[in-house]
Amino acid sequence: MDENEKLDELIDSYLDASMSEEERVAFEARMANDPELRKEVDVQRSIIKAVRKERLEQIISNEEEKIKNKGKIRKLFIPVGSLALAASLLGLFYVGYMNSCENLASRYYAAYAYTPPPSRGGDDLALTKSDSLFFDALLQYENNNTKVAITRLKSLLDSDSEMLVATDLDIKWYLSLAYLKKGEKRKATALLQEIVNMPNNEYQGKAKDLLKEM
Amino acid sequence: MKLTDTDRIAYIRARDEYMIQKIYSLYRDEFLMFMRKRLWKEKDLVLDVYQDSFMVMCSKIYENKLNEANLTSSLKTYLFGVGEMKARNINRKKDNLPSKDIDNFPDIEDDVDEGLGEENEKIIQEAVKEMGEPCHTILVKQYWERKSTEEIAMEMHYISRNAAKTMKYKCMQKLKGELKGKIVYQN
Repeated sequence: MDENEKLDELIDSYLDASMSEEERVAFEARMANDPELRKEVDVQRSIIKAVRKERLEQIISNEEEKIKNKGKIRKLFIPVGSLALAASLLGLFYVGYMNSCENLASRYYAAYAYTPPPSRGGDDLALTKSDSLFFDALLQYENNNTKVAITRLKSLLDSDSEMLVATDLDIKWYLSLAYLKKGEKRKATALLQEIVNMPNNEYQGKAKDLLKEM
Repeated sequence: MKLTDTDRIAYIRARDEYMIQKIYSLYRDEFLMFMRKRLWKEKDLVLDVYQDSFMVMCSKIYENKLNEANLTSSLKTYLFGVGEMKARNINRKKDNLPSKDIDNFPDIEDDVDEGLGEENEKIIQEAVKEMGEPCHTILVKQYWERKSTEEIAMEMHYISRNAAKTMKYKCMQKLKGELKGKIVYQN
């Protein structure tokens, strides 16, 4: 680790309040005599705040979406005429359908386990952009940003870019789960059928079982 | 299970996203009713004020400026106090008549960051939002989820803890480099 990397870690410790009292006093004395270091710390503090703020905004936005949807579903239950009753039953069915698709997808989902090959002479294995996109897609899936996950996985299937961590088969499996989670059963079925038809692959058994349950 | 303010502060501090959403919902409706009277000429801003106030409260908890020990009133009172301050600022700008209600809220310090200033904070906020991957994910895992470098290495499939550390450092340096020409320092 070079000196700059050590400084980055030191700034993190300071901002995290994980330094000892002695270390903190010494670091603050150093900052008082070094305006450039002071600026570096201020910027890093603001970056950390920005990361937290962005995540909080997302949490709040998700909750507002739930509140809005609750309001929409509540309207379906106003007992005014048989049309309203039919509409509420439809709403119930939709909620039940979505819940069952989500439950099914979550039962078959397992986090992707990538085992890198042994390193050569201590060099780090450089992941490609497509590899990063794949992992990001799974992260979006796990965070219930299913639409984004689908977009990312589809783009990976459509591109010819080099990937180290996953194959087309892996992508198809996770894409089928993402479609199912979103309630797009037809698209999920089509992909799962492709997987079943490919000879002797690790997802074949699971794909068959999932198709039976669907 | 009935939660106390101590519990709520602990959940917020722990970044428990499920509980943060619950706490957000808990105060929402009452706050909006309260704020509609304060911002009777700016009703469109009421939800924005709630969201900003909630984020200020959470930020104070993360910076340890608000904690179980120094919370002199209730968390709800603190939150409403932040909202009251924001409403006053909005009304002052619009030259609305000041509220005649007795101010029962505790002193809430200004939420504007004293370090770099509001404009610079906005620039940094935008830069963080626009970060590509894997940098964005690494910073979220480190600074929001508070994962260790070992955990980040495992979850992001880096070959070692040091590889994850180096990647995080490179991401930070890249971001700081992008901000260099844009941030104006006030001496």
